[in-house]
Amino acid sequence: MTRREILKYGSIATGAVLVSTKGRLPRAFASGGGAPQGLPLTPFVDPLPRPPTAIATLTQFADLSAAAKVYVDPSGRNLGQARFYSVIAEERTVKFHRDLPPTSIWGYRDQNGPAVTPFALGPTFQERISASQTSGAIVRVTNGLNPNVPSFGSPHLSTHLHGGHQPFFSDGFPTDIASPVFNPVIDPGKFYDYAYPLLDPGFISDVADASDRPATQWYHDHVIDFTGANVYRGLVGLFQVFDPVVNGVAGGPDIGDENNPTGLRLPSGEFDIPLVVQDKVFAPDGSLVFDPFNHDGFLGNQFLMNGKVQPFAEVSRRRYRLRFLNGSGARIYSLFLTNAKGQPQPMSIIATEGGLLSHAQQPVTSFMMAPAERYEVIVDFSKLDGNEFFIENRLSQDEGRGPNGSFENPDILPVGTQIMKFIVGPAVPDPSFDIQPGDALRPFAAITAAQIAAVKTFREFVFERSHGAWVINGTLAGNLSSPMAAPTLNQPEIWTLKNSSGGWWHPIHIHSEFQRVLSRNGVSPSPVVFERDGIARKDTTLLGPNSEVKVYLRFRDYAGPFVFHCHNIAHEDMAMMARFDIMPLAGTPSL
Amino acid sequence: MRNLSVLLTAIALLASESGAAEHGGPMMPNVTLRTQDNQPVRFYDDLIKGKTVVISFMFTSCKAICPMANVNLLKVQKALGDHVGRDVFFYSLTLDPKNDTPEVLHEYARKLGAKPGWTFLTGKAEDLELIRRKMGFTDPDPKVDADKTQHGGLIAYGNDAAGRWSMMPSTADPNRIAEAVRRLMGSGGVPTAAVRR
Repeated sequence: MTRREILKYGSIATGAVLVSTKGRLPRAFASGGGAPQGLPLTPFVDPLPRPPTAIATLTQFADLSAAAKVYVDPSGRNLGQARFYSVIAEERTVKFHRDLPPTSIWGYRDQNGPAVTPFALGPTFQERISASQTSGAIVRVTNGLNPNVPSFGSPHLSTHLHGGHQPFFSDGFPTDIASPVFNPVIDPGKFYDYAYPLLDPGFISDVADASDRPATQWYHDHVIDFTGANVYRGLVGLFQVFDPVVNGVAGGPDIGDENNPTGLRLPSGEFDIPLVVQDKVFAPDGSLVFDPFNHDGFLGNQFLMNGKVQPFAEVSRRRYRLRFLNGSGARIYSLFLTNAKGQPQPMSIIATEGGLLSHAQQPVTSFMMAPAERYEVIVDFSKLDGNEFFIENRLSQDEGRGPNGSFENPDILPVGTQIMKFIVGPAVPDPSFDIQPGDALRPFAAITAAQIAAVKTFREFVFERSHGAWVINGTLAGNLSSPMAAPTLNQPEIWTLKNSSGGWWHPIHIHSEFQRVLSRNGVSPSPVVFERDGIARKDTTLLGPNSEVKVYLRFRDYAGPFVFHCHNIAHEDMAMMARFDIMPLAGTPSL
Repeated sequence: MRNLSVLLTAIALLASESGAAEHGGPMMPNVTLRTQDNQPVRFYDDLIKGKTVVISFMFTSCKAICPMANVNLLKVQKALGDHVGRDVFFYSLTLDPKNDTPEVLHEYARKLGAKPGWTFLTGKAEDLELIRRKMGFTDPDPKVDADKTQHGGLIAYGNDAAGRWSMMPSTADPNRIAEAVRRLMGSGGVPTAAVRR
C-alpha cells in the first residue's frame, strides 16, 4: 500500500470498542499495532448528492403548538405569512458508496416531499430574512424513530438550528429542565414545532441589524449525551438564509440570484453547491461503526461529501459558490483545492458561519475548518488550468483530541486525502459577480474602541479536564439545571474563552448570537484566519491547545435558557457544555 | 477485491481471537471478576448482557474524587429506588486490585451504605485494565493515565439490549444521572437473543 493510499483510507484509534448500526456486528478493526484501514472503496465513482430543497406550505398545522402560534398571523396582513415545513426523523437505508451495501441511518426527511429519499442529509431549507415576527418559518420535526430497534444513538431528540437566532423554545435545548417549564426533548412518536422568525437580530429588543444573520446555517440533533452518536447516524441538514429581495442598489444584498443586478450576483442555483464534509467508519456489510467510549473524539477512516464517500461533481467552466460545512464529530480539516498534479489552486473566501465577510480578502490556497465551522468560497474554474480538481484534506490528525501541530502552525501533509473530485466541462455564460479583493460583500463595522470601553460585563470561561471529566472554571461542566452565566438582553459583554490544556483542541460554539472575535492570544487575529471582527462573524471559534480568544457578544431579542459548548461532539457529550440564561430587559415580563 | 478479502479474513481471525469479539454491541471483555461477596462473575455475560447498567472505576483508598463520586451515586441509587437491582445495575470496578480484595470492597460497600443492585468488583489487574481501556476510562497523556485518581470522574452508562452507551461525569447532578438512566431503561431494546447473530 502506498503512502497516498494509507492517507486516503485514513486511520482510526486502535483498541476501541466499536458498535455498528446493526448493534451486534463483529468488530471490524484490529486492536493494537498498525493503522487500521478503511474498506478499499474506489474513489470518485458516485456523483455528489445535492439534497432537495425543503418544501414549504402556507397551511397552518391544525394542532400548532401555542408557543409557535405566537409567530404566525394567518391573515397575512403583517408583512407576509409564515411558511410551514414538516420533517420527520426516521430510520432509512442509503448507499454511501457504489460498492458498499445499503447502510441503515437516522435521517431527516421532508414530509412534503417523496415518501422515500435516497439522501443521507436532510432537505436543505432555503429561506430569507423576514419582515415581521409572523412571517418566518415554522418547522415541525416529528420523531419517527423506533426506540425498540437497537442502535448506538438515542431515539429521544432535540433539534438545534445551528447559526440561527431564535426564541429559546425553538433552539433545541438538549434536555428537559424544570424551570422555566418547557420540554424540548421529542420522544419517539411525538413532534415539536420550532418557530424560526428569521428576523434581523435586534428587531425585537433593539435596532434591527440587517448585516447580521443571512448565512449558511445547519440543523442537527442536540439531545444530551447522545448528540455525537445522533449526528454521526445522520441527523444533519442545511438551512440557508438569504437576504430579502428589496429594491436595492446594484451590488446589493445576497438574494441568491446571480441574474438580478440589484443583488450581489453570487453564483446561484446549480452553481451554488453545499459541501458537507464528514468522516465515518463502515463495516463490510455497510453498517456504520461508532465507538461511544471514545470521548477524545471519534475519527472516521472514510471521507464523505454530502453523504457519499469521495464523490465526483461535473461542473462548468465558470465561477461557483462552494459552501463548506464541517459536519464531522471531531476531525479538523485543512482543505485545499488541488489539480491533478497536486498543486493548490486559489479560492476566494467570501463567508464563514456568520455569513458574508465584510469585504473580499486576498485569495487563499487552503483554510482550516473545525467541526461546525462553515467556509464559503468562490472558485473560478474558467481561470484554472486543467479539467480535474480535488478537494483535498492535508491536515494530519491521528487522535480525536485534535490534529498534529498547533493552531498557528498545523502539521500540513504534502499529500492529503482527496475527498471529492470536480470534472470541469465546457464554459457556459456566467453572469455572476467577479469578486476582487477589497470588494464589499456585506459591509459591517468592527466593534469600536469606544464600544469596547463601554463594556461592563466580562466573563472568563476556562475549559479544562479533571479526573477524566470536563470542567469549566473548575466546576463540573454539563449541569444544565442551572445557568453558569446570566447576561441581560442588549448589554454588551466580553467573554474570554480559554483552553489551558496541552493537547486538546476545542471549537467553542455559543448559541443565539454571533461572536465578534477581538483577539486571539492577546493580539488581533490574523486576517487570513477569517475570524477577526470587522471582517467576519463566527458562531464557533476554534481554541487550539493553550489558546485564549476574546469575543464580544450582545444577546438580543430572545430571553431564556441557551447553551454554549465544545463542538468536538464527543467533548460536548462528555458534558463540556454550560447553560446561560439571557435575562429580559428590566420592566418587561419574565418568562 | 483482494484487499477486501484480506480484510474479511482479518476480521474473521479477530472474531475467533478473543471471546470478546463474539459478544454483541459494544464488544465488552468477558473476563472473570470477583464481587465483594467473592463470587466469580463474567463481565459481559453475567453483568452486562441484556441489561441497563452504570459503570464506574474507583479504589477504596482514593481520598478525593472517588468518595465524592460514590456519595453521588448513592443519591442516584436512591432516586432510582426499586429500579436498582431490577431494571438497572450499578458496577464499581477497582483501580487497585492489589489492595482492594473482595473483603476490603465488602467493608467499603457496607460503610458507604450501598444498597443491593450495586456491585463492587475486583479481579486480575490485567483484566480490569482491559475493561478500563475498552470503556474509555483513559487519558491520552500517559502521565495522566498512570494516575489512578484521574479515572474516578466518569461513569459509563448503557443499555446493552438497545446497543446504546454514553458517558458522563460521576459527580454530575444525581437527578440528571437518574433521568438519563431512566430514559435508557425506557428506550426498550428487544431481548438480547433476538438480535444476536
